[in-house]
Amino acid sequence: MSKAIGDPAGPGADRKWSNNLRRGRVPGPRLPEQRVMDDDLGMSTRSVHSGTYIDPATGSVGTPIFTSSTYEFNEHTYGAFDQGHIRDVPIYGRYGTPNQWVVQEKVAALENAESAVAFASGMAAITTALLTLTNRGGHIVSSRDVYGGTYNLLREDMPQFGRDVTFTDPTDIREIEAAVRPETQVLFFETLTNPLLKSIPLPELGELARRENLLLVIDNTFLTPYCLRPLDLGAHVVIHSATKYLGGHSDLTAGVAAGSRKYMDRIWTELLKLGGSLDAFGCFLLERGLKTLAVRMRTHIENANLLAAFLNEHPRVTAVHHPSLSGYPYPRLREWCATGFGGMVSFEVEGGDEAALKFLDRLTIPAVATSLGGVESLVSLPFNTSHSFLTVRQRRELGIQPGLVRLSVGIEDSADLITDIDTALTGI
Amino acid sequence: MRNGLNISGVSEIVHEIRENGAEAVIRFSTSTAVAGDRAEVTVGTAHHGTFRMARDFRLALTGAEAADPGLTPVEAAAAAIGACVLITHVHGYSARGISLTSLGVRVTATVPTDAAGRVADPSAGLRDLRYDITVDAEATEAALAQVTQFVTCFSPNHRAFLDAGDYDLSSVLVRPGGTATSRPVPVTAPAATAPAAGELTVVAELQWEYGTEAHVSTAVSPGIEARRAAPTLVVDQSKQMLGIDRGPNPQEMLLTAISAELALGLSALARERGLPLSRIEVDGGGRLDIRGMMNVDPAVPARFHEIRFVVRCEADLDDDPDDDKVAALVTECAANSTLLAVLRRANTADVRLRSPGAEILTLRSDAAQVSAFIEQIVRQQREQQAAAARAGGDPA
Ligand SMILES: Cc1ncc(COP(=O)(O)O)c(C=O)c1O
Repeated sequence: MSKAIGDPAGPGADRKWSNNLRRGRVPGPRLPEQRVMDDDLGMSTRSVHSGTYIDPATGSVGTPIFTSSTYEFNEHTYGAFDQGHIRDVPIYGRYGTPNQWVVQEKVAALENAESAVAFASGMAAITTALLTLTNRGGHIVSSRDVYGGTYNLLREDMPQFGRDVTFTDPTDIREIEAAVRPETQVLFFETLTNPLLKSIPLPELGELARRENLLLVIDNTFLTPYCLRPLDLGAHVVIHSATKYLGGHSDLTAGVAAGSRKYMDRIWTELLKLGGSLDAFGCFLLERGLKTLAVRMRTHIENANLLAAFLNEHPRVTAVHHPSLSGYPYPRLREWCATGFGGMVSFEVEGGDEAALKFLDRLTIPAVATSLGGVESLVSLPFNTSHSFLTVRQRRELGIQPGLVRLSVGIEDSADLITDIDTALTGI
Repeated sequence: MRNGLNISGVSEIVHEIRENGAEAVIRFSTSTAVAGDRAEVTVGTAHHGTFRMARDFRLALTGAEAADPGLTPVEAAAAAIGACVLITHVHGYSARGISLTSLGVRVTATVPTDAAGRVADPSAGLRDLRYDITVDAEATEAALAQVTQFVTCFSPNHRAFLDAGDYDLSSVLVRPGGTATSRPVPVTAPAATAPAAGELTVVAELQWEYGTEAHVSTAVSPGIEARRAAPTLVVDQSKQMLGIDRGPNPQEMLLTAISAELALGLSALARERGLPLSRIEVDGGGRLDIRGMMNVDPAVPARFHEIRFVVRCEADLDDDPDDDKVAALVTECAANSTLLAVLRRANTADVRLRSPGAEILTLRSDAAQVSAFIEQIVRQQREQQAAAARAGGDPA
């Protein structure tokens, strides 16, 4: 295996300690065969080309799948063991492989990050990042509106690991500020909440994190870097369930974290121990999916906007939650999300949960399933799926009303989706 | 990874702080409250540049005369200095590619006592401080000796001990209604209180575990040894400072020692004078700039500095003169403090380095030794850079 770019000689026998520690942080890890695109190129160009491994032997235009779980040692591997920069040399599947590096480079390019780490699931990314960025005795400020799996981690497990958590209203910067304690280390929020698409005051959170020396960790799954790059607004680490839009085809479970090399190296060190690394096939699917991120997102956004407008006028619909609508309670989102708001729409059907269940039965195009972000439209009811673990009162407090439907709008023809939904609603 | 330290991490930190000095500054803190004859110390969140390091450590200290004596402040101070010396050695070896088999540091010091066994001359600080360092590692004696010399220049607690420095002390009186008044306490030179009749010997025995983790056992003699189980402490760095959060770090230990000495001293003094203080707390803080420690910037102090304490007392007192009374008591307590005297004075330490087979180095560490060694390093660096430039290479 050739020498990794991030493999400058470290301190060694002929380099003395004082003022001679030669290794600074470098972007990557990456191999010299990988494409590195300029920052000023557009989203589509970056999503197609960034990180691709060009095989020098065959000239194949796509990255081969390196199924090998281990890599032959050479002087660079030994050097890396000796000097400590083992993240930059292929050694072993869990430590880092060409396919991981390719997909990490692509995500880093899309999120304007120095580095990224691929994980076997979004939850692996979240667990690993939060444990990395806090110490025992530390404190995390988050919200009950986060994804259910994340909420369970924060509520059930973080205290057992010695990290206390405060749940706040994620739209209320005053409440979040008031929750900060001397031992608070991390603010963890989602860019757009599930299922009501509430928007968080991201610039203010960035400012709070900067002022108070906190780390802002943002789950950007719902918006994707096509719509929003949280690192540009002061986040330190951005996380995705790549199972969703980044993979984009509902055929992959994966996660990523992106940010500065400093924090990614720390998160990677923790990944080595917690073990949630992504295999080569998973990386390949994610790389392949990411190549069409921009083109898919454009259609998701267009379809979601059209459906939101359509539902907003529908007599059987009592409320629609979507940032494109004039009544959306968090219009400031539009200031930092210029390209759109992803493909999620949620709405309340007249007649409550019973009517909503009938509505699902009558749909013919969207699949009734959990998850989101695939090319196919998916629909589910929070009350009996994602939010079934909450009491009725807790659901009310979050704003989840009976009859709430969560729709992940796919990239089908919008006219077909509108007709199908209209028929299903009208016949309840 | 060498000796359990991520040396690539060390190098990257050096690069980062060269470009961005703000990331080099670390502020440590402790808060201490008196409960009966114990000082209960909680280590507070540390701030490292632009992020925070939560800490989860509590220690209880007592005076030597306590009915059930525990760790005493002078022992904690010896442990704090020894741990810093030990961890700085581990960094030095690791950066030079020296793999350790074992490393031990034995710190001893004496404190003069009067006929009743109490501290006789707080102005003396800790006397006869010495480090007996035992290293087992594959390296030349010259390389091992050089690391120890580096440590005498760059170990932050050793330098805080060595250098004449200052500290900031203020007293706050809180009344039942919650109103608080604050007074700065002048840094006064303590005076001998009684003729010395004997001395206490303080020992901290430190053994390197792995990485930045060291196990410490301490003793004070004569007096309390027979009455207690030898306390064992663990000292370690936070994971952000390449440790694994196993215990307070050396700077936190030093703040712990001094805060506890102040808190216990004030409690005893208030009792003696009949001043009804219902609650005594001491907040301690200090600053480390790792540019100094890693010799990135010669203008930055290597020592643990900007050390400050706020002594807070609650008392049911109401008129102004009582503020003065409390401030005077804190001033007196500070003047009786052996450990504050250590910070204020210039001190010396005798260093002896041995390997299992050989005596490698003995030196007296003081201001002159430190500046001579640093001059020598700087000269060598200039020569190396000039040689590299002549060779057309990239100067380090
Ligand atoms: C916003 C958000 N974050 C994280 C996750 C967890 O990701 P994964 O299912 O890939 O572990 C999900 C999954 O639904 C999600 O919606």
